[in-house]
Amino acid sequence: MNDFDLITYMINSEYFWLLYTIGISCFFQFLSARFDHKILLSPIFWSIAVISISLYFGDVDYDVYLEQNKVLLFFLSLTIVSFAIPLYVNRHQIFENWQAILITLLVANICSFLPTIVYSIFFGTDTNILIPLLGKFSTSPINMAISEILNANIPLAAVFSILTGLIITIIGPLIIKIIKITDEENRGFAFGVSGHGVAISQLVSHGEIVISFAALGLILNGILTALMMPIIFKIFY
Amino acid sequence: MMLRGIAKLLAFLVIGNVINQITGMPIAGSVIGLILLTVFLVFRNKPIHKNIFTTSKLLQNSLTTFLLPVGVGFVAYYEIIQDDIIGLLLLIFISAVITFFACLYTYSFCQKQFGRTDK
Repeated sequence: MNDFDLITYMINSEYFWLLYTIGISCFFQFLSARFDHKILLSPIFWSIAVISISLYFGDVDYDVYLEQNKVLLFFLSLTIVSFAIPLYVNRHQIFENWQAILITLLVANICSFLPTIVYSIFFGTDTNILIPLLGKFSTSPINMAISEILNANIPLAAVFSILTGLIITIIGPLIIKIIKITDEENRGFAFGVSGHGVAISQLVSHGEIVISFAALGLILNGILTALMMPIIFKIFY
Repeated sequence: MMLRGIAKLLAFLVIGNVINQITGMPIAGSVIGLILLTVFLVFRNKPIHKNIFTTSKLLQNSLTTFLLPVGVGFVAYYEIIQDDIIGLLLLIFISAVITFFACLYTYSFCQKQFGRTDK
Protein backbone atom coordinates (compact mmCIF):
# COMPACT_ATOMS: atom_id res chain seq x y z
CA MET A 1 0.00 0.00 0.00
CA ASN A 2 1.59 3.29 -1.04
CA ASP A 3 0.78 6.86 0.06
CA PHE A 4 -1.77 7.44 -2.62
CA ASP A 5 -3.80 4.42 -1.50
CA LEU A 6 -3.81 5.66 2.08
CA ILE A 7 -5.31 9.02 1.07
CA THR A 8 -7.91 7.32 -1.10
CA TYR A 9 -8.92 5.04 1.77
CA MET A 10 -9.21 8.01 4.08
CA ILE A 11 -11.32 10.11 1.73
CA ASN A 12 -13.65 7.22 1.05
CA SER A 13 -14.08 6.28 4.69
CA GLU A 14 -17.51 6.84 6.15
CA TYR A 15 -16.92 9.93 8.27
CA PHE A 16 -14.00 11.64 6.58
CA TRP A 17 -15.95 14.65 5.31
CA LEU A 18 -17.67 15.11 8.67
CA LEU A 19 -14.27 15.28 10.33
CA TYR A 20 -13.04 17.63 7.61
CA THR A 21 -16.02 19.99 8.06
CA ILE A 22 -15.71 20.18 11.84
CA GLY A 23 -11.93 20.47 11.64
CA ILE A 24 -11.97 23.34 9.14
CA SER A 25 -14.66 25.10 11.16
CA CYS A 26 -12.66 24.81 14.38
CA PHE A 27 -9.54 26.04 12.64
CA PHE A 28 -11.16 29.22 11.32
CA GLN A 29 -12.95 29.90 14.59
CA PHE A 30 -9.62 29.64 16.35
CA LEU A 31 -8.04 32.04 13.85
CA SER A 32 -10.95 34.47 14.15
CA ALA A 33 -10.80 34.49 17.95
CA ARG A 34 -7.05 34.93 17.79
CA PHE A 35 -7.45 38.12 15.73
CA ASP A 36 -10.31 39.63 17.77
CA HIS A 37 -13.19 38.67 15.47
CA LYS A 38 -12.21 40.92 12.60
CA ILE A 39 -14.63 40.89 9.68
CA LEU A 40 -12.12 39.63 7.13
CA LEU A 41 -11.74 36.46 9.16
CA SER A 42 -15.43 35.62 9.34
CA PRO A 43 -15.07 31.89 10.05
CA ILE A 44 -18.26 30.84 8.28
CA PHE A 45 -17.24 32.50 5.01
CA TRP A 46 -13.75 31.02 4.91
CA SER A 47 -14.89 27.57 6.03
CA ILE A 48 -17.44 27.42 3.23
CA ALA A 49 -14.85 28.63 0.73
CA VAL A 50 -12.21 26.08 1.76
CA ILE A 51 -14.61 23.12 1.92
CA SER A 52 -16.15 24.04 -1.44
CA ILE A 53 -12.76 24.23 -3.10
CA SER A 54 -11.74 20.90 -1.55
CA LEU A 55 -14.92 19.25 -2.81
CA TYR A 56 -14.37 20.69 -6.26
CA PHE A 57 -10.78 19.55 -6.60
CA GLY A 58 -11.38 16.23 -4.87
CA ASP A 59 -14.19 15.63 -7.38
CA VAL A 60 -16.57 14.67 -4.56
CA ASP A 61 -20.29 14.54 -5.23
CA TYR A 62 -22.30 16.96 -3.08
CA ASP A 63 -24.81 14.23 -2.21
CA VAL A 64 -22.02 12.04 -0.85
CA TYR A 65 -20.75 14.96 1.22
CA LEU A 66 -24.23 15.77 2.54
CA GLU A 67 -24.89 12.12 3.42
CA GLN A 68 -21.79 12.05 5.65
CA ASN A 69 -22.70 15.37 7.29
CA LYS A 70 -26.31 14.44 8.07
CA VAL A 71 -25.64 14.51 11.78
CA LEU A 72 -24.85 18.24 11.57
CA LEU A 73 -28.26 18.83 9.98
CA PHE A 74 -29.87 17.01 12.90
CA PHE A 75 -28.09 19.30 15.37
CA LEU A 76 -29.18 22.28 13.30
CA SER A 77 -32.87 21.45 13.86
CA LEU A 78 -32.14 20.85 17.52
CA THR A 79 -30.49 24.27 17.76
CA ILE A 80 -33.64 25.97 16.45
CA VAL A 81 -35.69 24.32 19.19
CA SER A 82 -33.07 25.34 21.76
CA PHE A 83 -33.61 29.03 20.97
CA ALA A 84 -36.69 28.77 23.20
CA ILE A 85 -34.39 29.02 26.22
CA PRO A 86 -32.97 32.56 25.67
CA LEU A 87 -36.49 33.61 24.69
CA TYR A 88 -37.80 32.36 28.04
CA VAL A 89 -34.89 33.82 30.03
CA ASN A 90 -35.41 37.30 28.54
CA ARG A 91 -39.21 37.21 28.74
CA HIS A 92 -39.53 40.18 31.16
CA GLN A 93 -37.51 42.46 28.93
CA ILE A 94 -39.59 41.35 25.96
CA PHE A 95 -42.89 42.06 27.70
CA GLU A 96 -41.68 45.52 28.71
CA ASN A 97 -40.85 46.43 25.11
CA TRP A 98 -43.50 44.46 23.30
CA GLN A 99 -44.96 47.35 21.29
CA ALA A 100 -41.60 48.51 19.96
CA ILE A 101 -40.52 44.95 19.20
CA LEU A 102 -43.73 44.05 17.38
CA ILE A 103 -43.88 47.20 15.25
CA THR A 104 -40.19 47.00 14.36
CA LEU A 105 -40.58 43.37 13.34
CA LEU A 106 -43.53 44.13 11.07
CA VAL A 107 -41.78 47.11 9.44
CA ALA A 108 -38.59 45.07 8.99
CA ASN A 109 -40.50 42.24 7.37
CA ILE A 110 -42.26 44.57 4.94
CA CYS A 111 -38.91 46.19 4.11
CA SER A 112 -37.33 42.81 3.46
CA PHE A 113 -40.17 41.45 1.32
CA LEU A 114 -40.74 44.54 -0.86
CA PRO A 115 -37.43 44.77 -2.77
CA THR A 116 -37.57 41.05 -3.52
CA ILE A 117 -41.14 41.20 -4.79
CA VAL A 118 -40.30 44.23 -6.98
CA TYR A 119 -37.21 42.39 -8.28
CA SER A 120 -39.18 39.27 -9.10
CA ILE A 121 -41.82 41.27 -10.97
CA PHE A 122 -39.17 42.94 -13.13
CA PHE A 123 -36.92 39.95 -13.74
CA GLY A 124 -39.35 37.07 -13.38
CA THR A 125 -37.34 35.07 -10.88
CA ASP A 126 -37.91 31.33 -10.67
CA THR A 127 -39.87 30.32 -7.51
CA ASN A 128 -37.07 27.92 -6.69
CA ILE A 129 -34.82 30.92 -6.09
CA LEU A 130 -37.54 33.34 -5.02
CA ILE A 131 -38.60 31.54 -1.84
CA PRO A 132 -35.10 31.45 -0.33
CA LEU A 133 -34.71 35.11 -1.33
CA LEU A 134 -37.92 36.15 0.42
CA GLY A 135 -36.89 34.43 3.62
CA LYS A 136 -33.30 35.65 3.65
CA PHE A 137 -33.75 37.79 6.79
CA SER A 138 -34.68 34.78 8.87
CA THR A 139 -31.81 32.77 10.27
CA SER A 140 -30.46 30.08 7.91
CA PRO A 141 -31.99 27.03 9.64
CA ILE A 142 -35.46 28.61 9.62
CA ASN A 143 -35.06 29.82 6.04
CA MET A 144 -34.03 26.31 5.05
CA ALA A 145 -37.05 24.88 6.79
CA ILE A 146 -39.30 27.31 4.92
CA SER A 147 -37.72 26.30 1.61
CA GLU A 148 -38.09 22.63 2.46
CA ILE A 149 -41.82 23.04 3.15
CA LEU A 150 -42.46 25.13 0.03
CA ASN A 151 -40.36 22.76 -2.13
CA ALA A 152 -37.69 25.30 -3.02
CA ASN A 153 -33.92 25.00 -3.16
CA ILE A 154 -32.70 24.35 0.40
CA PRO A 155 -28.94 25.04 0.07
CA LEU A 156 -29.67 28.35 -1.65
CA ALA A 157 -31.75 29.35 1.38
CA ALA A 158 -28.75 28.86 3.63
CA VAL A 159 -26.49 30.73 1.26
CA PHE A 160 -28.79 33.75 0.92
CA SER A 161 -29.21 33.99 4.68
CA ILE A 162 -25.48 33.73 5.27
CA LEU A 163 -24.77 36.35 2.58
CA THR A 164 -27.26 38.76 4.16
CA GLY A 165 -25.64 38.21 7.53
CA LEU A 166 -22.17 38.86 6.12
CA ILE A 167 -23.29 42.12 4.47
CA ILE A 168 -24.88 43.34 7.71
CA THR A 169 -21.77 42.37 9.65
CA ILE A 170 -19.67 44.55 7.37
CA ILE A 171 -21.89 47.61 6.86
CA GLY A 172 -23.85 47.55 10.15
CA PRO A 173 -21.14 49.08 12.35
CA LEU A 174 -20.54 51.77 9.71
CA ILE A 175 -24.23 52.72 9.59
CA ILE A 176 -24.44 52.86 13.37
CA LYS A 177 -21.42 55.14 13.47
CA ILE A 178 -22.99 57.48 10.90
CA ILE A 179 -26.46 57.86 12.42
CA LYS A 180 -25.24 57.64 16.04
CA ILE A 181 -27.64 55.19 17.65
CA THR A 182 -26.41 54.65 21.20
CA ASP A 183 -29.23 52.59 22.68
CA GLU A 184 -27.94 49.05 23.25
CA GLU A 185 -31.31 47.31 22.97
CA ASN A 186 -31.92 49.04 19.66
CA ARG A 187 -28.52 48.19 18.20
CA GLY A 188 -28.70 44.57 19.25
CA PHE A 189 -32.22 44.14 17.97
CA ALA A 190 -31.40 45.63 14.56
CA PHE A 191 -28.37 43.33 14.22
CA GLY A 192 -30.40 40.30 15.23
CA VAL A 193 -33.34 41.01 12.92
CA SER A 194 -31.32 41.80 9.81
CA GLY A 195 -28.01 40.04 10.33
CA HIS A 196 -28.99 36.96 12.39
CA GLY A 197 -26.50 34.28 13.44
CA VAL A 198 -23.59 35.45 11.34
CA ALA A 199 -23.80 39.00 12.72
CA ILE A 200 -24.35 37.83 16.29
CA SER A 201 -21.17 35.79 16.23
CA GLN A 202 -19.31 39.07 15.56
CA LEU A 203 -20.99 41.00 18.41
CA VAL A 204 -19.07 39.35 21.22
CA SER A 205 -17.30 42.56 22.26
CA HIS A 206 -20.49 44.66 22.43
CA GLY A 207 -21.76 43.53 25.82
CA GLU A 208 -24.54 41.39 27.28
CA ILE A 209 -27.58 43.54 26.44
CA VAL A 210 -26.63 43.88 22.79
CA ILE A 211 -26.18 40.13 22.43
CA SER A 212 -29.37 39.14 24.23
CA PHE A 213 -31.44 41.55 22.15
CA ALA A 214 -29.73 40.36 19.01
CA ALA A 215 -30.70 36.80 19.92
CA LEU A 216 -34.22 37.98 20.54
CA GLY A 217 -34.39 39.75 17.16
CA LEU A 218 -33.08 36.63 15.44
CA ILE A 219 -35.62 34.34 17.05
CA LEU A 220 -38.70 36.53 16.72
CA ASN A 221 -37.93 37.55 13.15
CA GLY A 222 -37.33 33.91 12.27
CA ILE A 223 -40.66 32.86 13.72
CA LEU A 224 -42.53 35.75 12.11
CA THR A 225 -40.99 35.09 8.70
CA ALA A 226 -41.76 31.38 9.02
CA LEU A 227 -45.39 32.23 9.78
CA MET A 228 -45.75 34.96 7.14
CA MET A 229 -43.90 33.42 4.20
CA PRO A 230 -46.47 30.81 3.20
CA ILE A 231 -49.22 33.45 3.39
CA ILE A 232 -47.29 36.06 1.38
CA PHE A 233 -46.37 33.42 -1.15
CA LYS A 234 -50.03 32.43 -1.61
CA ILE A 235 -51.11 36.05 -2.08
CA PHE A 236 -48.49 37.09 -4.62
CA TYR A 237 -47.76 33.97 -6.64
CA MET B 1 -26.12 15.28 31.70
CA MET B 2 -25.71 16.54 28.15
CA LEU B 3 -27.71 13.58 26.89
CA ARG B 4 -30.74 14.52 29.00
CA GLY B 5 -30.72 18.04 27.58
CA ILE B 6 -30.62 16.65 24.05
CA ALA B 7 -33.44 14.22 24.83
CA LYS B 8 -35.67 17.04 26.09
CA LEU B 9 -35.02 19.23 23.05
CA LEU B 10 -35.44 16.23 20.77
CA ALA B 11 -38.80 15.46 22.35
CA PHE B 12 -40.09 18.88 21.30
CA LEU B 13 -38.56 18.50 17.86
CA VAL B 14 -40.34 15.17 17.38
CA ILE B 15 -43.66 16.61 18.60
CA GLY B 16 -43.18 19.54 16.21
CA ASN B 17 -42.49 17.22 13.29
CA VAL B 18 -45.51 15.05 14.09
CA ILE B 19 -47.80 18.11 14.28
CA ASN B 20 -46.34 19.35 11.02
CA GLN B 21 -47.07 16.03 9.29
CA ILE B 22 -50.56 15.56 10.70
CA THR B 23 -51.83 19.06 9.99
CA GLY B 24 -49.81 19.69 6.83
CA MET B 25 -49.00 23.15 8.20
CA PRO B 26 -46.53 25.10 6.08
CA ILE B 27 -44.37 25.73 9.17
CA ALA B 28 -41.31 23.58 9.81
CA GLY B 29 -41.38 21.06 12.65
CA SER B 30 -38.39 22.67 14.33
CA VAL B 31 -40.14 26.05 14.46
CA ILE B 32 -43.28 24.44 15.90
CA GLY B 33 -41.04 22.73 18.46
CA LEU B 34 -39.47 26.06 19.34
CA ILE B 35 -42.86 27.70 19.89
CA LEU B 36 -44.16 24.73 21.91
CA LEU B 37 -41.08 24.66 24.14
CA THR B 38 -41.40 28.42 24.82
CA VAL B 39 -45.09 28.05 25.69
CA PHE B 40 -44.28 25.06 27.89
CA LEU B 41 -41.56 26.95 29.77
CA VAL B 42 -43.78 30.01 30.28
CA PHE B 43 -46.62 27.90 31.69
CA ARG B 44 -44.31 25.90 33.95
CA ASN B 45 -42.72 29.18 35.08
CA LYS B 46 -39.79 27.63 36.95
CA PRO B 47 -36.06 28.25 36.55
CA ILE B 48 -34.70 26.30 33.59
CA HIS B 49 -33.05 23.00 34.47
CA LYS B 50 -29.29 23.13 34.25
CA ASN B 51 -28.83 20.31 31.76
CA ILE B 52 -31.13 21.77 29.12
CA PHE B 53 -29.55 25.19 29.65
CA THR B 54 -25.99 23.92 29.15
CA THR B 55 -26.98 21.87 26.13
CA SER B 56 -28.70 24.78 24.41
CA LYS B 57 -25.74 27.10 25.07
CA LEU B 58 -23.42 24.49 23.62
CA LEU B 59 -25.58 23.99 20.53
CA GLN B 60 -25.95 27.72 19.89
CA ASN B 61 -22.22 28.28 20.19
CA SER B 62 -21.64 25.70 17.45
CA LEU B 63 -24.31 27.08 15.13
CA THR B 64 -21.67 28.18 12.60
CA THR B 65 -20.44 24.61 12.19
CA PHE B 66 -23.96 23.19 11.77
CA LEU B 67 -24.58 25.64 8.93
CA LEU B 68 -21.57 24.56 6.88
CA PRO B 69 -22.91 21.48 5.05
CA VAL B 70 -25.78 23.48 3.58
CA GLY B 71 -23.65 26.55 2.97
CA VAL B 72 -21.36 24.41 0.86
CA GLY B 73 -24.40 23.43 -1.22
CA PHE B 74 -24.05 26.81 -2.90
CA VAL B 75 -21.34 25.36 -5.09
CA ALA B 76 -23.47 22.41 -6.10
CA TYR B 77 -26.33 24.71 -7.10
CA TYR B 78 -24.31 27.60 -8.46
CA GLU B 79 -25.49 26.89 -12.00
CA ILE B 80 -29.07 27.79 -11.10
CA ILE B 81 -28.24 31.35 -10.09
CA GLN B 82 -25.22 31.82 -12.32
CA ASP B 83 -27.07 34.01 -14.83
CA ASP B 84 -28.44 36.57 -12.37
CA ILE B 85 -25.65 36.48 -9.81
CA ILE B 86 -24.91 40.24 -9.98
CA GLY B 87 -28.58 41.19 -9.76
CA LEU B 88 -29.10 38.86 -6.82
CA LEU B 89 -26.08 40.18 -4.94
CA LEU B 90 -27.25 43.77 -5.51
CA LEU B 91 -30.76 42.88 -4.36
CA ILE B 92 -29.46 41.26 -1.18
CA PHE B 93 -27.18 44.21 -0.49
CA ILE B 94 -29.88 46.86 -1.04
CA SER B 95 -32.57 45.12 0.97
CA ALA B 96 -30.08 44.46 3.78
CA VAL B 97 -29.27 48.18 4.02
CA ILE B 98 -32.94 49.22 3.86
CA THR B 99 -34.01 46.70 6.51
CA PHE B 100 -31.18 47.65 8.84
CA PHE B 101 -32.07 51.35 8.66
CA ALA B 102 -35.76 50.60 9.07
CA CYS B 103 -35.07 48.54 12.19
CA LEU B 104 -32.96 51.19 13.87
CA TYR B 105 -35.34 54.06 13.17
CA THR B 106 -38.58 52.22 13.90
CA TYR B 107 -37.28 50.91 17.21
CA SER B 108 -36.03 54.28 18.46
CA PHE B 109 -39.24 55.93 17.24
CA CYS B 110 -41.36 53.39 19.12
CA GLN B 111 -39.31 53.79 22.28
CA LYS B 112 -39.96 57.54 22.25
CA GLN B 113 -43.59 56.97 21.40
CA PHE B 114 -44.21 54.56 24.26
CA GLY B 115 -42.15 56.55 26.73
CA ARG B 116 -39.32 54.14 27.31
CA THR B 117 -36.25 56.28 26.80
CA ASP B 118 -35.02 55.71 30.35
CA LYS B 119 -32.84 52.70 29.57
